[in-house]
Amino acid sequence: MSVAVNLAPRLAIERIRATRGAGVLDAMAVLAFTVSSWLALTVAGGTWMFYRRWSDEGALVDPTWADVAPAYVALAGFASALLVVPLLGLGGAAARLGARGRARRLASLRLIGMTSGEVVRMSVIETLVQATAGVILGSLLYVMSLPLWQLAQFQMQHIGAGEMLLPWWLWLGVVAVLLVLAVASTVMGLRRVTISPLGVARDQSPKGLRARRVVAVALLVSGFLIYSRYTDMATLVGLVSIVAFLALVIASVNLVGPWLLQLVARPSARTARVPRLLAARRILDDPRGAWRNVSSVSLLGFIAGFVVTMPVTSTGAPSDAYSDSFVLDIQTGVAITLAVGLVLAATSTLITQASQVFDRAPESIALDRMGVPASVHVSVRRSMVLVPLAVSLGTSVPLGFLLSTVTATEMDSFPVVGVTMLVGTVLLGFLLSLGAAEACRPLQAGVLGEQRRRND
Amino acid sequence: MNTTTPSGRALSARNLSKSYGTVRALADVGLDIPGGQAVAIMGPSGSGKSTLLHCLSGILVPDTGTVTLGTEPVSALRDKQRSLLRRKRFGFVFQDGQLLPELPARENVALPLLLGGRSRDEALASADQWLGKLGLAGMEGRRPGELSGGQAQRVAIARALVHGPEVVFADEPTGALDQATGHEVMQVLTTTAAMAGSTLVVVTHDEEVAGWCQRLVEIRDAIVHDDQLLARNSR
Repeated sequence: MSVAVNLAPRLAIERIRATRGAGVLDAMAVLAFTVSSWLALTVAGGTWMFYRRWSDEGALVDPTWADVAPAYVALAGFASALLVVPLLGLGGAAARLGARGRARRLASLRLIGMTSGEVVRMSVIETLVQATAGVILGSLLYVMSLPLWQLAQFQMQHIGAGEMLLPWWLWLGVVAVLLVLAVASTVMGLRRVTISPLGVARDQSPKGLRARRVVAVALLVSGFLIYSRYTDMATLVGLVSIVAFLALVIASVNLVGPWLLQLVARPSARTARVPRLLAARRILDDPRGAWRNVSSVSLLGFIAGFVVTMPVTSTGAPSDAYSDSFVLDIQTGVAITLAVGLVLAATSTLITQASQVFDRAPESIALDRMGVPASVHVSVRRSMVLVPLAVSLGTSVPLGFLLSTVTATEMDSFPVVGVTMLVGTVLLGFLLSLGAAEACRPLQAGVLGEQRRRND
Repeated sequence: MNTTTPSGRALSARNLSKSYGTVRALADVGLDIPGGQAVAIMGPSGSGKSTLLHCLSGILVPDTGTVTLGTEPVSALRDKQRSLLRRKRFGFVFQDGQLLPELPARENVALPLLLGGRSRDEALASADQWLGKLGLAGMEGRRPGELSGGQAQRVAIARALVHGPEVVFADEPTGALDQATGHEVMQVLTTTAAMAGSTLVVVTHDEEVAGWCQRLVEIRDAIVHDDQLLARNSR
């Protein structure tokens, strides 16, 4: 244990300080933990604010809102629960960063006599060093960004300066959960590395995914549509069962997504020229991995599709200012949830692509030596982000829309707000993911330009 | 298979020097390689042989000195032009093949042609033809991980020659293979490069491997220590 305890923090800190080569990946892991902790604390802060407004007398300026205050807490809790998926995705991506490099390094340590237990402990300590640095930076960002929230208002009341500030014990709780998630992701990621480095670029032809996945999802969706038609949502059992069924349908998108990606990439692999050929082959090589990079976006696409039919007024009575505000608050909440999710997804894309730049460095260097222009690498990366993203949004948005028709009230006008949110989410999703992929250009240039003397 | 000499242009290096920080890898090295010749560059670890290959092929720019291919000043070209030169007029065989793991053998081989703008059908047909010539007929659809080391290196040789390069650079092409497979690969490499009329520059630390070439250039301590023709392999 002492070897791991002594060595791991020093190695991690030295690599972060090096900030070149694979050291960039450690800095990126810190960035991932910073973003995830900043947003997790902000979302928790928002939920805490609604709880305080409900529980503390006088917290609500207008007591009329007291009746619906529990609904705000529940909705904020639901939004937080939705964001756990992209948060987990980002944590997992951080843990898989530079998996090949890490596998090689860990193998070297095993060779010089470290036990597998020590290697696991060492990796966990490394992650904890990165995650702790990220949590400290994320907490600072969270506190620094609090004044900006005063621009927003809920329950016809602007957010107060300290309303979203978590008490120390809740901050500690959120931080503890983040650290536990980071450690769990590392241990799971390490297991994957041990079996097959990163699961990407397997050298053998991968087995195709079966079409029965689609059948299963189609049955689930049909089942949901039928079940919801004959279930009374006014009862607690009915409502809970509908929500549980809905959650199952959302989760099932991850089952059909990789299969769809495979379906889309296959024709390109048969007909396209470089670089789309390379992108298609890489997607076909690991459709689950390619999907994992965008799975959090698919969740957002689902939400965006679901809220398209969101009513402009809740009761259809335009004069009811409280009802209008309630609906506006829901729209604001959805927009914030989508924005947070998009930032998480973009960060996840950034670090996944950065990781792949280093994991594929030997092949990229060989291609560069053969005279393949750097623009080919950029185009491959762009396709590898955009194709899964298009498939992801192309699946989740219509599915969300289809399922929303079950709960939607009859609309007497075009749902401007819902459609704006949908278009905004889709556009921002593309732009942020594309930007994240483009941000890897300097890393790629660094990998190709590094003049390292071989042992010639 | 293309059996005509692409150009027969000579590759020349004059007063090449290259340092990595304070370590000198090449010191005033000069070399003339006539078109079509197979040259082995040998030397112990750290002698500067790979650096010489990288300078000759335009991967690295020397600190001082010049490299020319015929009348083309390789070392004076801009990065983009050197990339184009490498893609169109040079072929490369690396130590461990460096095939793209996601692509089947035929697409790996077709890559230089596809990058050069040839149609997919044409590129794949040429790739299949080369794989057949190198004894890999029936393995076109296999991915690198489904091939033995020797077979993967044959695929790499096919990829290096498929676009009819003037010069093929091979950096320790047998370094990851056992002796018997290494000899087999060298035989294929020297024979096919000769048939294609390409100049061949092989970096190795193995005398047996160097023995397959017509000429042996020995590098020691960053300078050309010895330069001799190997009579038994004259083409």
